[in-house]
Amino acid sequence: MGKALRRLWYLLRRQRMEADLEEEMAFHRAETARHLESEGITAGDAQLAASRVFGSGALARNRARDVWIRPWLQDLGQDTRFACRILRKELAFTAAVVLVLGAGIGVNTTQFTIVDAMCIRGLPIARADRVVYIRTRDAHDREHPLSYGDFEDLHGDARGLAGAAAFTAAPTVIAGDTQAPDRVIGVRISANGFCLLGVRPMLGRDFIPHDDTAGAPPVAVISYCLPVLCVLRGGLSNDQMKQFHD
Amino acid sequence: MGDAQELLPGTLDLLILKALARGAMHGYGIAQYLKALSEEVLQVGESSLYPALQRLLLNGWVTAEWGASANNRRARYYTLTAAGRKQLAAERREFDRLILAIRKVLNAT
Repeated sequence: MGKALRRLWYLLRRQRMEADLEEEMAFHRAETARHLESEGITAGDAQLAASRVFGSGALARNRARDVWIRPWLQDLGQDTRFACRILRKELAFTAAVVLVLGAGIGVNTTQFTIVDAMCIRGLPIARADRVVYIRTRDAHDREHPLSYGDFEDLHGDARGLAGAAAFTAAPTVIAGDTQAPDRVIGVRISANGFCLLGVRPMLGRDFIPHDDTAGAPPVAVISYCLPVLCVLRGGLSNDQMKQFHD
Repeated sequence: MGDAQELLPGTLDLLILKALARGAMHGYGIAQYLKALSEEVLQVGESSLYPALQRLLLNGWVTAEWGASANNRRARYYTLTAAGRKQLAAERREFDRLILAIRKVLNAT
């Protein structure tokens, strides 16, 4: 049995161990008194003398405990208990601290989640390093999205690119016959978008080129974890929307 | 009065191990034994003796067991373990070395 195990054993059976120590020290005291008595000292005086010879029981107990539980650990426990008592007493202060800490940690976590997704993990697609994002720049060096005409040109004769897909933010409203309309973040994307990025739907089918023609029935892909809807041209019928919402 | 406080650090552990090398003993017996053999020079107080015994238990150099004392009272008997025997030899070597060194310094002219 190693030292750490013996220490653990002591902690688990601490009461018993301390009782053992108490009993053996009482025995020591009694034996000392008996010895003094045999030397001719009266019983009462002998007990007193034995206590005196024996010294402080409390000191011995504390020192014995220090052997098993390091003093700094005992202090730590005491300090923690003290801190808890104070926090319980000063409720307003505690609430303020919890609020400030909560807000601080929350903001940091949110920030890290964004940084992690954008900078550390990158886009959740295969070969994210082969994907480029094309924008235009005006005379004032400000960035703008591509116009649809530019995109069609690029799409037509892009060399060095496996393909080009367009997307634009499109806040979308989901509504059912019986429920209030709900606004969700939506993105309009060209039919080849998911295919180009190598992303496959978990359920249903991906967009096909026919979906991208004028007058085609509206179709949508719903993201798994965020209320993001990728829609093509046109809106969806109420029935379809209800299906998605369920 | 030579309380353990005034002994060299670690010496009390060595003395207890040595006392137990003869056989199992309870705390009071150890104190009496050290007192008798040192001709009353070493009077070990409980605040030194019992923490030291706990230290020896923690290190696995002794084990403790309850038994009956000579006058039939419940007493806790300590026994030297094999590791304790090894420790006794090692501490004794170290102690001899230290005493020799101290003596050399004191005897210098």
